[in-house]
Amino acid sequence: MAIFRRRRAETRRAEGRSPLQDAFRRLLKHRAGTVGGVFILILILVALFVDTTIPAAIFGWEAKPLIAPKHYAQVSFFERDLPPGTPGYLLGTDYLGRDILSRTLYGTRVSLSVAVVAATVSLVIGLTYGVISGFAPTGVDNAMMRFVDFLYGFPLLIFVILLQAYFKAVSRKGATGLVGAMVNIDKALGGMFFLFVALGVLNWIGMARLARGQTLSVKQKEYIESARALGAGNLRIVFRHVLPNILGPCIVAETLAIPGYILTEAFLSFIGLGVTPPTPSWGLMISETYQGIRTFPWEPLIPGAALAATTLAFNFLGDGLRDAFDPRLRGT
Amino acid sequence: MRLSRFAAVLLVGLLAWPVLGQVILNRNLGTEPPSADPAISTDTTSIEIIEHMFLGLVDLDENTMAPVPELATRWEVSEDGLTWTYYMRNDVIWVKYDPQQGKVVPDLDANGQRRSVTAYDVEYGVKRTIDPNTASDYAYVLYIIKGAYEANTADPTSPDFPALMDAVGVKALDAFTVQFTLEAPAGYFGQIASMWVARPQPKWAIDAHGDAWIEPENIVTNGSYAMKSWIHNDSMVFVRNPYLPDELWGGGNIDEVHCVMVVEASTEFAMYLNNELDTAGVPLPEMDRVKADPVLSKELTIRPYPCTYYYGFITTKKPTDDVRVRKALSMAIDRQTLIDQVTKGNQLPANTFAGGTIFGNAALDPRIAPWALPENLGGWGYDKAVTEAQNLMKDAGYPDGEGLEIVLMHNVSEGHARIAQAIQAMWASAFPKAKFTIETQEWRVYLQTISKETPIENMPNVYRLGWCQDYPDENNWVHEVFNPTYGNNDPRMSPDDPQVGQYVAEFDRLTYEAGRLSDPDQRAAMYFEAERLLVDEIVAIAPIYYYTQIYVAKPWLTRRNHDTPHWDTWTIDAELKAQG
Repeated sequence: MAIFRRRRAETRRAEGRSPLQDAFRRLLKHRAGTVGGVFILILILVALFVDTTIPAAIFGWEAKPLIAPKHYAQVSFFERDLPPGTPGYLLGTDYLGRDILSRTLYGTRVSLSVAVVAATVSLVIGLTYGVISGFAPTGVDNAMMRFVDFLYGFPLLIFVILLQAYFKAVSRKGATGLVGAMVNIDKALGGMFFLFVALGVLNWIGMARLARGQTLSVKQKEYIESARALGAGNLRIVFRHVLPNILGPCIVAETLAIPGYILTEAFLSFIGLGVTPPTPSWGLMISETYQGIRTFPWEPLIPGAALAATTLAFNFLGDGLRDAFDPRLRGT
Repeated sequence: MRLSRFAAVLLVGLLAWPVLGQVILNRNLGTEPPSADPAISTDTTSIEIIEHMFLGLVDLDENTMAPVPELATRWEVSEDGLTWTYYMRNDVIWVKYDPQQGKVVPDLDANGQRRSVTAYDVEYGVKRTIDPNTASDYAYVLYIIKGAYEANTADPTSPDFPALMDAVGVKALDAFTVQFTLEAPAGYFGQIASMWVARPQPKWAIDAHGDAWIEPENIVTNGSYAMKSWIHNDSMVFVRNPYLPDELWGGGNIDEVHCVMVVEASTEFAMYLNNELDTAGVPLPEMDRVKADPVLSKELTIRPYPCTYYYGFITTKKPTDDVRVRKALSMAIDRQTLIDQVTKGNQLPANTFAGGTIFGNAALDPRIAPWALPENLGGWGYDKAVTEAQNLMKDAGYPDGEGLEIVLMHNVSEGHARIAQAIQAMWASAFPKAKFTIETQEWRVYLQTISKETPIENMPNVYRLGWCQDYPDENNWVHEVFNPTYGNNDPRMSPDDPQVGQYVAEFDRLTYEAGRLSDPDQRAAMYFEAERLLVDEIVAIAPIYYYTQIYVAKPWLTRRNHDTPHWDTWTIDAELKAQG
């Protein structure tokens, strides 16, 4: 009796946990994944509260630095190139006497926005496209996938560069209507908006392929057949049965793609097509100072370390998520 | 095994033996030379190699900028200043590098005779530059020659084109006398005659090989060094020309010049530290270290260089169409701080367009734009200038910069980016409510953007450029760069401008007329007024600083300081160099 009761209790507990909760528990046991996740949480907090932009935007105040000791564009010509540890400048100053700690903290905002926005855009577009393609009749599926193949053969980075060059030209011209509104948003974001557009618009194709493949394999499963036999419509099958079962691998793939977005942003800023100076981005900070690495090594190394740590954290988190969603893959 | 190694050592030793006796200069050109053709080159790298391969009628003295004999031993100017006759020496011959013999040999004509450098080659060279078929970007500096403008702008397919070319005022009177006839008595023609566009060119080589005549297997030259090899985008080797008359040799001892084409300043500097280069530029971020380093600071040279760094204003685009806005922006640049803290090369703050070595300049004269100069140079100093700038901005309707939006554009370069951000910060602190946006473009795209063909809505408000002299005369500066009728006039100054139109018309007249006079005093007075109008009344540009040339040279290298390097005046202590 006692044995029986305990079993029932266990079963109940097991019933009460969704696959997502299970995955979360497994993720917590994954040490590197947890460390990566915590690091990213801290970064998110830093990005949100590096200054008072958010309450300032709501209440119409002037934005003041909050976590960052100084504003990122505060120039002090006579305190340039100070080494880390100088009183008042924990991580030193750059060639215009701007506080490197503050600029690195502000840089979190650019990198994380790019990560979040580009990942969301690509996940939403790619998932929708892939599921539709996998679920549609063969003819439609073929047509949609050939379009993806076409985009795959496209040199993406060159396209992003062209897109950025075009948007910058448009914004100088002064546009009206929808493009004008986009130009204004871009100005308010320090040149980041078009970066999001360029990155997000082009990075969904891998996701679309993955989602379609997953959909095709899930479509054959018995539980779909039984749902159909019970009279469930296509929409219900997609949302109740297909999506929840393919979401895991897709999220993992997207997390692992994020470091790529961050590095692309750094690269674009490095060649002058990213954010607009003086808005700090890690890539921009490196490109402005790498020539002096012999004399002032901290100037490119500090943003470089931040960049490396962040991409590493996302990679760890992606690994952890993969193991959590599919324990059979652990260690592969 | 032992034997073959010994043989290998012997072989390497034998191969290296003739090289060991050579004095070699290792130099970085900084980029692939866009050309080696005297008729079409426009950039300092091409001009540096042309300087060594082709002699001019005259050279310029490194200090006084006065013409000194080179191919021409003497010259005469007619009473009216319109006819210039050059008498050339007859002992200079055309040479080329022969890879079979491994040395420089005379170029022989069809009869096996050596070819002398003659007045016909000069006439051909000048006319080839002017010929519209050559499409030289620098033909305009020869417009002072009679008929040059008409020939250069004519349609080369029209029936009267050959007559126009014949009418160009350059004529070989005999094999060693060449005569120029000018449009107007131009006091600066002596400097023009030293330029690469007026050098003798080998007609037979150009006719035989077309555009490829500048390749090492085809090129025929007459200067102090001959081209041995040119591996594009990689390296060039030049060999001393043993047939050059002794009086034309600059007194150096360098037999071979090995050039690399490293673009990155930091890589160039690392190669210098590693003894792979004998001389190099100093990257901006390394200046502090070089100045503080006991060894490097002794190897450092900083000298004035005839170039000016400036920001131009587009005078037809809002809000820089208002002269008060332009003047306020120019005033709010703290030039001395910029030089001390950002460019760090002991440059001088600029209050005029042309610097101190150019004929007719008014550099550092506080009667022009005193707000650009610090107090120790007789100017206002920055505190007074910035207060005045804020008043002007308020008058223009932008108190504290409220409502002001300025786009500043520069070409992609780390140095330009630093200066732009520093100036952006100065403007932002003087006009805190204004919005200043920096944009960058690749050099070729950038030149396209700021040209006069670009529609005004695609233009920035402020653009960055530098100007380096082609010849040391104001005509090359205020007239050829800014004259609204004949020059580039990138700021789009117009005599119809409601605020400064009368000044523009006056500037147009002064710069045009001063180039057609020979009296130095009269010309200098006119250029003074032109500079004042340009910088202080029209405010078409904000001059920022006069360049300095900054380089380090190893202790074994002695360089003389021509603005365009003259390797034949440099000496290397080969023993010291071998020790490293």
